[in-house]
Amino acid sequence: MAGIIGGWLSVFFTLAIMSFLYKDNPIYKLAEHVYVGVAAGYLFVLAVVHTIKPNFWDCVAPLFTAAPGGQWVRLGAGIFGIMFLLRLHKKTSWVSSFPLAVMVGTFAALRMTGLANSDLVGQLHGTIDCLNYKGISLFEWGKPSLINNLLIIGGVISVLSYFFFSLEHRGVLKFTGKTGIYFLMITFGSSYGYTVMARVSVLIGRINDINTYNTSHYFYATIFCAIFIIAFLFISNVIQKKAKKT
Amino acid sequence: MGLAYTNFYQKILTLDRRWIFLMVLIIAVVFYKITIPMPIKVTLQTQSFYDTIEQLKTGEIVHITADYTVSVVPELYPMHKAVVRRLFEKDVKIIVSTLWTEGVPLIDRAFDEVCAELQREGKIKTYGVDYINLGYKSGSDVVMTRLGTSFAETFPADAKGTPVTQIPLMQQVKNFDNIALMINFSVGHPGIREWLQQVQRRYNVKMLCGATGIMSPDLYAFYQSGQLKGVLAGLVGAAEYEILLNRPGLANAGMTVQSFEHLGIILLIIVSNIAYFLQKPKRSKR
Repeated sequence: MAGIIGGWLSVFFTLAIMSFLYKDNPIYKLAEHVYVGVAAGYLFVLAVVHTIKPNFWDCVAPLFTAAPGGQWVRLGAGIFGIMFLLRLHKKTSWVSSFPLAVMVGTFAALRMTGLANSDLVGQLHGTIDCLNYKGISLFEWGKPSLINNLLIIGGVISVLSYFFFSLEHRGVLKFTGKTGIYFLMITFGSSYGYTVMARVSVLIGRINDINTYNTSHYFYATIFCAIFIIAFLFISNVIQKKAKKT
Repeated sequence: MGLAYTNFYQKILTLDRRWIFLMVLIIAVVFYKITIPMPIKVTLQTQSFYDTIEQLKTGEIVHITADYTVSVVPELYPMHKAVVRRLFEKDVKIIVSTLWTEGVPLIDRAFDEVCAELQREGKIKTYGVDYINLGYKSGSDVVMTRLGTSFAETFPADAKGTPVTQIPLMQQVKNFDNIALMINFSVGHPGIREWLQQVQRRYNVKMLCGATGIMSPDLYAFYQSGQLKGVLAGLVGAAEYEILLNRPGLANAGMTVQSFEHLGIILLIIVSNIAYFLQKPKRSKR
């Protein structure tokens, strides 16, 4: 029974959200609000069950019950949490800047070293590796080859020169800068193609569900939900037009 | 002004976008029902992904991080499931965790479906011995670096709340030194970029990635530099992987729709560009 109700809800909310493509309407608004509400509730429960309980409560509670396994240091996390919440009150909001500073500082340090290591050194290493021409063919589609490696090096240099603003883009710099634009455009084009693929994949997923629930086992949820939503949109359109006339 | 709108090219350029939505929907529905086998060429990134998994030995441990949500299930779930099945077939042990709240049920779903399939084929996989779901943990980069020190301290309990000290598989793992391969299924941040930054070079972990189409072009640079050993790019990547496994599944089923949707969009781009350029002289005259 739960599966059938779940199927009906899935189809109804899918079609309700899709109805926005026709125009903004009360059914879409309902689905939107339900989605936001459910998502917020779900996240809250997950935060309690997977974060607050195991990382804080289960470690701190034994301290007050004399049971083994208590960790005083975990109280610090609780104090930080309360300091964050003090932001909600005007007079005490300044307190929240302390845990925020610690958090921003920690993440900045972690990201800086990680980014330098992976995106800078790692990528430099990868680009320099392209200069190694030993044992590779002149050209092969989609595989390391001399021409492909030269394209990578040329692409990196030209795109970097496009973003080099310390000198006026004249002469050689103008040429490399323009070449850089072409490399960027090709990159954006491929990203666009992949974006279309991603969106279509999501659509396929929804159609798959809609098709699954359009069987006698689910009492033809898709057909009934579609008829209801189309009828609702038609009636609300008629009412709106009448209201405009009057 | 009224005359201008009667112009055919103007009509194309000012076409109500709802007609495009309708076209996309019709193509999707029609080619969902009519499957035309599409030739799929396996790319180098997918081949490397496949080869890296094939090189794993029986009993080795793989850490999968399912950092995605239900919104991208059609794109990432087929590859997630295909990988889990292949790892089980090779008798590789699997530890899965997620940094995305919605990842937990998806991890369970993949295990349940694959275990049921294998059970029908007479192969039993046991929770806690062959695989484990460590569940969700907030903290993004901090969790990643912490795993480098200790899995047990970062995830003191699995997704069901069982302490990891009571789980046999976790007795074999202290940190990334005991992990033969890491596979990330990624939809955004935190995701593969953070794993690369915090874990790959710092702990020298061999890493594979299955990512959404939107993320994939950015990841090819990391594949080229050797930081990623293989990349499955969106649904087409999953379809290629299924072909390599000789087991066409969820991803291949969607490729007919993908191909015809792309064809439709390319046609729209061509038609609207022709209309734009034919309209241009009239505009400049005005």
